Amino acid sequence: MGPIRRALLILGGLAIASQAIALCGATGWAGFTRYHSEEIVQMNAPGELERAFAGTGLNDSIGRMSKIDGRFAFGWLPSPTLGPEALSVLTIGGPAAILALVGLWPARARRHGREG
Amino acid sequence: MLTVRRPLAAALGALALTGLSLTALAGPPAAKSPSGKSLVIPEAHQKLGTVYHALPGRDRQVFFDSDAPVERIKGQSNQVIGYCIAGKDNPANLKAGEWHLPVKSMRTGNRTRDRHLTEANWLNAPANPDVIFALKEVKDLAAQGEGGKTWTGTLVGEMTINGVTKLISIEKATIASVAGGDDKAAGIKGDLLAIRCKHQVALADFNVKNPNIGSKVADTLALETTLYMSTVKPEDQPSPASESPEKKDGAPDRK
Repeated sequence: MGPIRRALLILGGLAIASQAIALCGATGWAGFTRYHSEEIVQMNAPGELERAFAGTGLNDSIGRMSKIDGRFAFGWLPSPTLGPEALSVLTIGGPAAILALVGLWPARARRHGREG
Repeated sequence: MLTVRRPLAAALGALALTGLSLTALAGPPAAKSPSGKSLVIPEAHQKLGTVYHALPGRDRQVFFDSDAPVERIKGQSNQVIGYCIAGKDNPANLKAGEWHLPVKSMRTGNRTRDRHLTEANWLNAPANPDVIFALKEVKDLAAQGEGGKTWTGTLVGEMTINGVTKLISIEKATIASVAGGDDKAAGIKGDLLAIRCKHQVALADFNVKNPNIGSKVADTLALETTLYMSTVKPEDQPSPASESPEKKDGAPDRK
């Protein structure tokens, strides 16, 4: 492999892997990828009803209602489904990191490996 | 021979009685109104007290948490329709009630999973489109605080999931009321009532069988419910700001 090809492999692989990690961080370091859902975001917005019962003690004994996050997050791991949620740091950044490692592998060692 | 037949007859009789009692327990669910936003309340229930209608399409009403070894799945819905009948003496002394949660309305943040939930090997929405809770009585009712607007009690009723009905008790439920015209309730018509509770549901109890139960999905789901209701039907309420065309049919917002 020529030096230019090797440099492209290393830089390209590292760029993709690091950007995948950066995107994960920028969207909240989520475990799994999820996509924006306007429906969930609106469901979670404090509404008139929640405000109406604030101060009545409705949530005193068991706490406030839980919720799921409706915002986009690029997660570390793919969801175990055959859908767009299967994209993740592991599935995109992982192969890119492997390519970068292949480029970083010393050429002489590989040659010796083949000869051996 | 006679000694064998008697226990057999007794067992068959007991089985028949159990079948009859389960049939009586389940009863037919209330029909949906033409708009689909409320239930048609039986006349017998209307006479028992003040009717409060659930308000779908606003704040989230149901949340579930499946904490399994391989995966943790959480979901929620704000599409519950139904009603309860508040006692004349005390609004928290509920006389009856019924709520329907459309299985297709549950959102987990993963569209593929949302679809799987509705399939025959999970909650089987084509055959059993709704999770239903029919309230029979409230026990151990006690006032909470000094305001006289909040109470705690045990809800007793029949839960139907996947077409299977079980009698359940939900302890430590909180019931609160807010009078209509309260400044904080601006945008909602009528007197308001809310029920807040937590309970657990074992999927096996409702004949939900799937190889992933126990690994990717927990055997028992933790459920949270907050049902906000009004004396004015949802059809006669101002449109919620959050209502969107996608939500009206209970379909996922992206496909």
